[in-house]
Amino acid sequence: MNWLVPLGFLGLLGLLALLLIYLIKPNFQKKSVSSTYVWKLSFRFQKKRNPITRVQDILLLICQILAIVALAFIMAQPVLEAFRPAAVTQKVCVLDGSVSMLAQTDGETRFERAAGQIRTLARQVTQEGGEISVILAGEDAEYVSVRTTADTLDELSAALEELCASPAASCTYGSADIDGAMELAEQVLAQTPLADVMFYTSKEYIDDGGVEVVNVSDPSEYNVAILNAEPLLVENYYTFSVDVASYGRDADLTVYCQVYGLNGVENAEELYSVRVWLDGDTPQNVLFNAETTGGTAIFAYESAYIYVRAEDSLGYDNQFYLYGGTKETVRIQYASSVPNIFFRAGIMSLRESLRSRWNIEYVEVNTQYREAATSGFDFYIFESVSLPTLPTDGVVMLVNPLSVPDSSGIRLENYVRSGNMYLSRGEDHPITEGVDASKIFVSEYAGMTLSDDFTTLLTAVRGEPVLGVRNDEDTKLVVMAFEVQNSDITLLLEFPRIFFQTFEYFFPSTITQYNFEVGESVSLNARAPELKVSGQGTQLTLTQFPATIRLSAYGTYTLTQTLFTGRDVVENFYVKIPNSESDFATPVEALTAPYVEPVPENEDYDLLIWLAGALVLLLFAEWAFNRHSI
Amino acid sequence: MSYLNDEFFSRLETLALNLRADLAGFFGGKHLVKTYGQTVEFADYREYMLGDDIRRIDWNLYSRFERFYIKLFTDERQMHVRVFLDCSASMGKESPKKGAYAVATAAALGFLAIHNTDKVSFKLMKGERCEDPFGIMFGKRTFFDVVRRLEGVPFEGDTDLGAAVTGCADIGSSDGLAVIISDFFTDSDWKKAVDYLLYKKQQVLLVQVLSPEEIDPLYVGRVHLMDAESEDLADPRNMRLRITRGMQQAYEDALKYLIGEVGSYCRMRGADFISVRCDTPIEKMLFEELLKVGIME
Repeated sequence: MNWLVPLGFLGLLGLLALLLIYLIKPNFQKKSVSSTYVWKLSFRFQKKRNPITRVQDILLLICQILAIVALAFIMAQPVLEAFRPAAVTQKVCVLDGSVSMLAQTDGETRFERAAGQIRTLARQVTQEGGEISVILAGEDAEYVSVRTTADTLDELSAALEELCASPAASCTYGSADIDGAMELAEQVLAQTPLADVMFYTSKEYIDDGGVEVVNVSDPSEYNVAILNAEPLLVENYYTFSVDVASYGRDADLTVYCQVYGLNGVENAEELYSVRVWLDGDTPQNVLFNAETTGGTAIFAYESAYIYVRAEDSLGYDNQFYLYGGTKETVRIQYASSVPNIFFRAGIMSLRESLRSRWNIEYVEVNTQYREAATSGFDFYIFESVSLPTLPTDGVVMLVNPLSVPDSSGIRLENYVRSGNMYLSRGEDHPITEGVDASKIFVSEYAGMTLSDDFTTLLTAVRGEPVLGVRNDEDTKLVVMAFEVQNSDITLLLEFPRIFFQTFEYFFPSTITQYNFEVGESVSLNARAPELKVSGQGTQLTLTQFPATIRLSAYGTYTLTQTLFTGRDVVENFYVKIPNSESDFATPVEALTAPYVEPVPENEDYDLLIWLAGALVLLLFAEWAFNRHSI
Repeated sequence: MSYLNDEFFSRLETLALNLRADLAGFFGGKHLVKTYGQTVEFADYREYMLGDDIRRIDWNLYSRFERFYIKLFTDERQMHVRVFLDCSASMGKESPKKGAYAVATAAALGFLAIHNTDKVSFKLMKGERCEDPFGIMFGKRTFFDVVRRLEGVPFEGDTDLGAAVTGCADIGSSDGLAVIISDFFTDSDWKKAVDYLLYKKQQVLLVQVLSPEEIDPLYVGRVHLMDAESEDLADPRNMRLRITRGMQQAYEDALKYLIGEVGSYCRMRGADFISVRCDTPIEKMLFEELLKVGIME
């Protein structure tokens, strides 16, 4: 509580006046009367006194004293001061831990520079009796220190020292979690709402949202970066498209491309280069094609290493790897006693649609003329044929089998059902996803019984299986109990869907692209029970698919899986740092500032009204006591 | 302050005291009594007895009944009105108006008696004594002389009504009206006085005179009440008290109780009682209050 007019307390002198009045005031006023006889008699008629009346003189005096005090308080104009946080210096420092902070000049990174400035600031603030909190915005935001004072300054210094010991380990290779850091800052600001929030970064912000942005970049810093590279398949030949830029300085640069496993020749490698002039912080596109490779057309490659030689400030974006240039071959055999166009068209369509991922080789066998192979293929389709043994090195699809080995788990019954029937859906399965079984009309199918290893996908009228799938570790089998001639399935979308989804189910792509950015998540699939992920400090063995991993470091990652045939499949993908981190020049639109509960200003609470009310009440009480005492 | 003037007395000439008929009184006067006398006003017949004056035989009745009857006539007596005036300080020291009102009441009653050829005597009660400085008055001239002197009577000291009345030498017996004029603010036994007068077969009238201040005391707060009859500050009749609203209510109740007690005692004993405020016009007191109790006609 504060008093705007302390002189108003002179009103308390009224207490002296009250005392004087009580001293001067005669206790009993002399009054001559004819007789006191009736007064004495009246004692007999006096009602029992209220207990309050015994102390009402005291209460009256108290009321008068309080009224004078209230009056003095009113004159002094009391106010309740609104909450104002302590006037000590409060700082909340957010240290950007993004990869761009690893840019260095003269051996000192931006991160170290920022940490040094924070250390200096912390010393100043704590010497003035203030507090400083430090938040590191790395891959995730975390507190380095919370409200450090002079007593705990050593701990903060040690923590900053530890961060600077290995800046690369302290920072992320991607973009920092600035939003998370600001949320942590909010928590500090909830306790110290007047604290200044300072953001130590290398970026410029058009709208800093009220945050004091401390740019720790050095004017001499520049960055040459390969922002992106991708293989473009044009008329079955690859063109490597590379986006390269130089931020902060114009550069006459040579972009190199080292291609390994060129055109399917093992250990063959070629180095190509293209010179480019980079200015205005504008990315330039460089193409490696027949024109720039001296007429060499690239139709296959194992990997391509693209790089620039530059003594720039940030070296993490000076190289790039391209993978996926060699497609894996899948061999499909379609064997039928009566080959039909539907399977043939399905396989052709499959080959065309998946040509960017798979190199599908197709062999068709008419079993009336020659025997179908039972090895050497990845995918076998047997239609209306008898099979004494099942292939063991690939996925087998049996259509209207005439006989099957017992080991298949299929027992063919001795009956054939015919009539006009629509199918029903069995268990939910990726193969029949989106398939409307009730649209499929079948006029005849062979009775069969599937073992428990099978999943029934489609059933006939009596619940008899007409489509089943078995996916064991050593047996990959799909069986269909009717000929396509005895159904309208080939006229429906359901046939290519089932066919395509069967292929996708057994031959899933491990990854759908070969280039990622740090911070992205990648979804992985595998044909084998296990998939090993290695690279950049990551060693993982995945068994549940699809699996998702978060990419936290730049560089090449290797995926290894051993198929049930025993063949190892190795694939690579490359993770680059985000382009926004490579860009030293373009300012960021807006910084998400922490929300601070606005501190009310000039909201001192005036107590006059309450005191006035109290005074009125006291005067009323005094009047009431006075009246009661008469 | 004086109420006593010619105009006042001239208005009283139309009134007369209505005294009881069983009083004996004295020969002469104008008050009809139960006994038969020598007036010209017929009262009754009675059969002739030896010794009766034969001149009073009604011969008309004899012609009709052949028996002798004599006429009886009412008797008129002279009464003695004794006015006992409380001369204590409470009657007039602090409130001269109250004293004057009491004197005026005494004078009015005395005038009514004189005007009806009754005898009047004023008894001044002081302490335990009852003084009779004016003696018995018969005529108006004497009465007016006495009234003038009566106005100068001082109100002082205290009065023991019981002792004063019972100690009074000239009380008489069944010969008239005894009026006690007082405020009855006394610890003395006023009932004894009433009983004594009734014992003497007097018609008794008690007149309580109160001042407006006594009926509605206006003072409040802490008050040191000085009794007019007190001798000094240490007199136990003086009292200190804080007069509150409750106290005022108690005073009102006590006064009502006192008036009621006097009134009920008088009704019980066959005496008359009126209580008047001294700011009430005295004519109103005479024409209303006394007419109401029947002592006036």
